[in-house]
Amino acid sequence: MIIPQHVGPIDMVAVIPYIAIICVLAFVLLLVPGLVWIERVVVALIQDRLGPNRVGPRGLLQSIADGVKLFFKEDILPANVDKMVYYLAPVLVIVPALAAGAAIPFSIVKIRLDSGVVEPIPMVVGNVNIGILFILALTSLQVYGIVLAGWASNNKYSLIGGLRSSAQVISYELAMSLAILCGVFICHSLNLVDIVNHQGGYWFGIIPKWNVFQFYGLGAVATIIYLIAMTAETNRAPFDLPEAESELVAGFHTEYSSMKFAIFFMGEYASMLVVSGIATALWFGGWQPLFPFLAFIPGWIWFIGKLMTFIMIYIWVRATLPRLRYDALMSLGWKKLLPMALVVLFLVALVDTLQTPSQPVGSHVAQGHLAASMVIGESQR
Amino acid sequence: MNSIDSHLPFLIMSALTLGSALVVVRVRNIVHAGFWLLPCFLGVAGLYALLQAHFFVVVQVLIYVGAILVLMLFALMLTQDVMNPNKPQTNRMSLPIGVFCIVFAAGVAAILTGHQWVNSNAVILPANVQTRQLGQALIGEYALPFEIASVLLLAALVGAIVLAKSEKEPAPLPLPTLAALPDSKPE
Repeated sequence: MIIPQHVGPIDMVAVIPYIAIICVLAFVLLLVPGLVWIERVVVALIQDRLGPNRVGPRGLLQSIADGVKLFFKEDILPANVDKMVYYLAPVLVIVPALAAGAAIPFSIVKIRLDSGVVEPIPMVVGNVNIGILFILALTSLQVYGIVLAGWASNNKYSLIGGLRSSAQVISYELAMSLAILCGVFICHSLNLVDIVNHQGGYWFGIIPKWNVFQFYGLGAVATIIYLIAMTAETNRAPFDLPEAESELVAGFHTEYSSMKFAIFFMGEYASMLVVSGIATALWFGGWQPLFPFLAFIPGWIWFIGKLMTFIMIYIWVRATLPRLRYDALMSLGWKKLLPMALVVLFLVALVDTLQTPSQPVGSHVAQGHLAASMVIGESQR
Repeated sequence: MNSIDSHLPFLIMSALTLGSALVVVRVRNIVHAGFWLLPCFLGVAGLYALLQAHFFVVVQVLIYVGAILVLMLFALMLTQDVMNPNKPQTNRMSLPIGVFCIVFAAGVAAILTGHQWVNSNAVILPANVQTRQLGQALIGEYALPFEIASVLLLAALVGAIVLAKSEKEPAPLPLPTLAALPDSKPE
């Protein structure tokens, strides 16, 4: 579908980032009740229970009822809490997650410019040149909300939850960053739109050139490392030690009630959506269709479909695997995932070096000068 | 261009950095002090942003805010009796060190104001070109300092492990086998 640049008085090219903002906010905030419902139904199916079935058809309105209940509950402030930090913590959980959504490209729109040229415009709030680093930086901020919530609550279970979370997130961030670096090596770009564009095309006309299938299986190993690390990074089962309900009451959010608790809950789902969005864009081709003959389906449907697949994997894993013990968690992160990610990164770099034609020594200096002179030319024009 | 207007973003970012740094050293609660480092680091990231160094903005947030500060808070929460607000914030060396700091700051200020600064006409490159050039400089021109810094960090890591590991580690107790327990006979 090709949209003309001017629909009435509206310039579509200028409007797209705003549409993307609305899409990100609406998608994350409105989908959370739906995700909670999906999670409860699927977990109930896997565990052979009934699940929500009282409010509305098939329990569909259960999450909305829960939301309304949380909204009207009393906002309890426990004694001796650190007031400022206590109120700030839920905000620090949800804001980075929503902000990180700004750099995830979820589709591409073809727009016929006034000059007659058809130009593909990515549906993204900010097409950041170093988008993947931007998202990594923001998701690394999320741990503050949990640590500070645990500390400010003046409760030993909360404090242990917060401490566990900080150690866990720091440990798995290393493996996750190294796995992401593998993807960056494959695509030679830090820009997520470029990364997705790089994954277009097919081998033998049928196997998509997604990063997960790239580099003789190395891409798949890096993908698996990323998927494990992203589960740990979002504190989801089987890595939900910060809120292990059988050990720590409810972990870092034990003392939180009403909407503040709901915001923690929403923050968890928002960060799940963000890391799944990175997985989709970085490894599974973003909006690129699975097979060439399915290209008639719009890109955003592909993106959301892949995203929801990851959410289903999250739920499936949660319902299947028991929680890891703390020392097992640390040894998995430091002794298995990190060395594995280092080896994969080394091999990816090796394959990449062998694939690219060799350049004479010192050519990078010439390239740098070329780039600089090009930019000077641009600015002087 | 010397009007207050053009310097306003710089002034805001500097005020954020220096103001929160002042709170860090003045506040009684040490976890709050750690928390106040957050706006301080973000202010430094903002200064990088004003210099159009996008890569450094992101790396500043990623490394300092996202990793180092979390580890500091982690260490603070694990340390015993560190949050007691009745502990003195200064020790007997505070006066000589204060005098030294004032003299040092005055010296630095004198040098910086006395120097003739040349306006750079460097061209601002897009973030991806900046990143590529930085990477090439690190493995090319500045390879030796880069490697020395890596070795220094490695030495710090090894040193931390040596310090943290106790002299004699008690051997782990052998777990009793099921058969050795008194009441484990099958009924």
